[in-house]
Amino acid sequence: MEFESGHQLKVKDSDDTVTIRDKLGEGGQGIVYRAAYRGGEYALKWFFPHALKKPREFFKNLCQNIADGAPTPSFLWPILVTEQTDGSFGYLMKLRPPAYQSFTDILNAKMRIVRHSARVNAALTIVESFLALHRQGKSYQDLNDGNFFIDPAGGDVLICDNDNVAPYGVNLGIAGKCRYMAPEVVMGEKPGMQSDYFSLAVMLFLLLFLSHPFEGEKVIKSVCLTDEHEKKHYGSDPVFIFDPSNRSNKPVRGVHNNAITLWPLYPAFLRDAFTASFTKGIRSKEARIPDSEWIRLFVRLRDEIVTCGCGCENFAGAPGAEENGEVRCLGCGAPMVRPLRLNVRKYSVALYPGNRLYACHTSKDGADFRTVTGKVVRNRNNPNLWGIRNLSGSVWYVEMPDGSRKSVVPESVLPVFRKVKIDFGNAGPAEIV
Amino acid sequence: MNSFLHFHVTVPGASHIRKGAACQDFSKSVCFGDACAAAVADGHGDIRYFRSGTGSRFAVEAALKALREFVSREESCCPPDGMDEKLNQLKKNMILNWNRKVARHLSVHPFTPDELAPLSENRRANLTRGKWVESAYGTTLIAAAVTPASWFGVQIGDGDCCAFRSDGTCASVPKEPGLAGNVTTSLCEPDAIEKFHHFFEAGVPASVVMSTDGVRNSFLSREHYRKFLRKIVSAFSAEPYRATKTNLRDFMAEMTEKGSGDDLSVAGMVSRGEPPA
Amino acid sequence: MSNPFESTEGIAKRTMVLFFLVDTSGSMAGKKIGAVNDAIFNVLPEIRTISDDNADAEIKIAALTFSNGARWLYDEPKPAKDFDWPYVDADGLTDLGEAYRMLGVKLSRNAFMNDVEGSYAPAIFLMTDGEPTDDYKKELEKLKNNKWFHVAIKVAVAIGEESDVNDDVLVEFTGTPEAVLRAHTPEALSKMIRLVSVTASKIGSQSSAVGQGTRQEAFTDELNKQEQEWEPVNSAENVDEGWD
Repeated sequence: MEFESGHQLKVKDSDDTVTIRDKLGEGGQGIVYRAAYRGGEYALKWFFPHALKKPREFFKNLCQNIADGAPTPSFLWPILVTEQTDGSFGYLMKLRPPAYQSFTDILNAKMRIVRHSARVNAALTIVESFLALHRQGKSYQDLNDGNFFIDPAGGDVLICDNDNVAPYGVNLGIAGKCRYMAPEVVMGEKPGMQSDYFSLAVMLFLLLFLSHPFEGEKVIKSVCLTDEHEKKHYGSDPVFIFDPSNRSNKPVRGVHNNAITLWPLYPAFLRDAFTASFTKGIRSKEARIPDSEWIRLFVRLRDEIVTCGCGCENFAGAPGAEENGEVRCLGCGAPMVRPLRLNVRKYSVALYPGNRLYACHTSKDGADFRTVTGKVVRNRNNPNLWGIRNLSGSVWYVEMPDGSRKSVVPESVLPVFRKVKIDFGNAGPAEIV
Repeated sequence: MNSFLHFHVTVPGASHIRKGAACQDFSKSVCFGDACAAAVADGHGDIRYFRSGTGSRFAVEAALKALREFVSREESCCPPDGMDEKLNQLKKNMILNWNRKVARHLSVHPFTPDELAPLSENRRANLTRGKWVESAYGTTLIAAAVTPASWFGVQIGDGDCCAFRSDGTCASVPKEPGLAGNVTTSLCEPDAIEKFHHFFEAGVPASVVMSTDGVRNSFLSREHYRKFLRKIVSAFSAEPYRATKTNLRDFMAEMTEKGSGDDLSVAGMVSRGEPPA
Repeated sequence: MSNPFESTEGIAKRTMVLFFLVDTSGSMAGKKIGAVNDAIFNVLPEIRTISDDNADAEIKIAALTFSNGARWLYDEPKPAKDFDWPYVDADGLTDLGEAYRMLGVKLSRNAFMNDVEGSYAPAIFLMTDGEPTDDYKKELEKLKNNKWFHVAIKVAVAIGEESDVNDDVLVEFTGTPEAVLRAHTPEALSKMIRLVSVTASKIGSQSSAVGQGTRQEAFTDELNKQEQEWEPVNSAENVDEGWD
């Protein structure tokens, strides 16, 4: 029941047609083809006639999603839907560029995200996308690692398989993968915003630690994992592998190597956030971390990244790397100078050459974590002297430790010394400590 | 009566006997109900892996315990799809069982100064701090089971495991690529699960035979080795069990003299039906 | 009743192959190549003894000389007792890349590593005095992907003055600076050849080790231990002696 190359499909409510080129792949719900439309190349997903449990609702939802548009550019969103023929229908979307690898492959170590900054960028983008989706009043419904594609080099994310995105309460009859579902959903409750927060926490944990938060000793004690067991380990009795008060599900040497080696690398504040999500957050939905808070956490994590001379990225505040109060580079073992920090509002940005300031640091717009407003640079004549270059477009006012004041116009640099105070405009008091 | 007979033989290596070292191989085979299983393990042997003789015994015990439970659930042996997941869970469970045996043993028998003395400073410091303690028990592991519907095998490290089908062809459990010379992967490694391979086939084979690497290393070529395995299978099919086992053991003692000098283990399961071609 | 297994064929000891890669370029002519010839010739009896005493493995030797191009002394590795070192002359360039290429071809189960399933990891001993004259880096990269090369014990001896030999070239080959030794005089060279061959043969036939690189570590550990037994030559003293 596959289409031949050259087969034409009519676009709904239009005279345009879509022409099939060749098959790209196949899933449980349908087939994805490469197709031509108005001179460009796209992907077309065509559903198997009986694959959808509630086809009419699904179709309606799909059309609504197309009308609403993608929440952020990270979503590979349906562009148009075809006429219904042969008992089914399909929708058109952009092709996924080859640089993006499936998150599944990253979990299986077929591809690696090496740099912390790429990983943090991916995390921020994923959270941002959830946030945008929630703002539209919609939820994910079928979250799993197959939906996310990441460019391992920079951490850019593309979210695919968006035909299951639907408003809260609308149940399209899709069941998500157990591993990603909140415990109450595994046990039968309807998914909602707070169960999305839980799934988000699981995704982020997988991204950072390449290990599942509930898969430890307890889960491999049984030789066979039946459906009953799954319900227990993800639904009625999930235990966090790093639960400080319950070690029954701790990671197993030889099996959960990633969790064991990667967990100690991250700063305490992040580990505490995950611990809270997977201990209190299991039963208490209110204790779960919402999207906006995850963004703050990952911006804070990004502020910790310092790049050693050897090229390897480290976390300035990571306990694992510290011996005698020194941070040692994970790549080359060289001791790294403890950086000074810029404290502004809730942020404490590690000031290390290459690190950046963003709009959320230097302006009132706490949500903008992408616009670069400053960069830490090294003085060419004196490499031990560092400064912050003003890339914000407006003037900063600086008070030096000796009391003298100066203004720092855009593109010029202010020196990094302890006790320097900076006025960015309307970000509140900022000081280098 | 079970339709398979099972056997296992371990012989200490000639070079180990000369050096006064203990045998580090271990093997066992067993039947449960209408299924049979066997396992062999090869402890790594040098001063760094000073309890690997114990480690190999634990590996075999951990494997057979897991297999007994696995095989007792009918649904785990039949469905062809989902078998990869099931075998992954089985392997994880084996690693866990082995870890636990090692931990229990260590808590009752902490490392002695004599054991730690010959090691490098770095290693000694780590072991004393409780890091990488499993390495002292390091071992390979091969285990397989036959049920009325199928056979499957798991392997970490060097050694071989082959099933001979009734048409005479052979299927083996894949090994970690890149192993060369006498370098091996091991149960004691932090990412052991990544290097633990498996193989599964529906349908009942005529026999399944496994051996530690000392056996294959005693032969000039793979063909010679395979011929030896077939000989073992036909001997067990045709001749009285006890005599065959004794003959095999005697021969393996000679083999290690003339061949690799290594510990040798062979174990397997042979169908009681017609002897294979 | 006779033991039915008695008729089993094909049993043999494991093999460990010791590879000698010898620079026979023009600059080696005279005392240097003389020392190499002498040293290898004299170490053979010792290697034969080790092979005989070592019931675990049979030590075989394969030697390749390189100057303009490269050539194997024999078609296949020869058991130590059958290996004769034909005194070689020195003349020509230093085609290290070609040596690497030919080594790579033979480091395979279809070639020199075919003897016994799972031969012991080989030991490769490179002896050279000067800069390579061909594109050796490309060939070395290929060699590094060869799994036999990967697990082999590798050692290099730099023959001559500080200025002559490019240490980097040798460290690239061995992977670790500890496995690069220096011989300033013919005597030191002989001692070194003996030490390396003997240590490599002993370590090479050890039982299984977990993970690659561990045999190389064991080898350099052993070498470091042994080095204390003979005094290194003070280069300031004999700088005028020994080499033309």
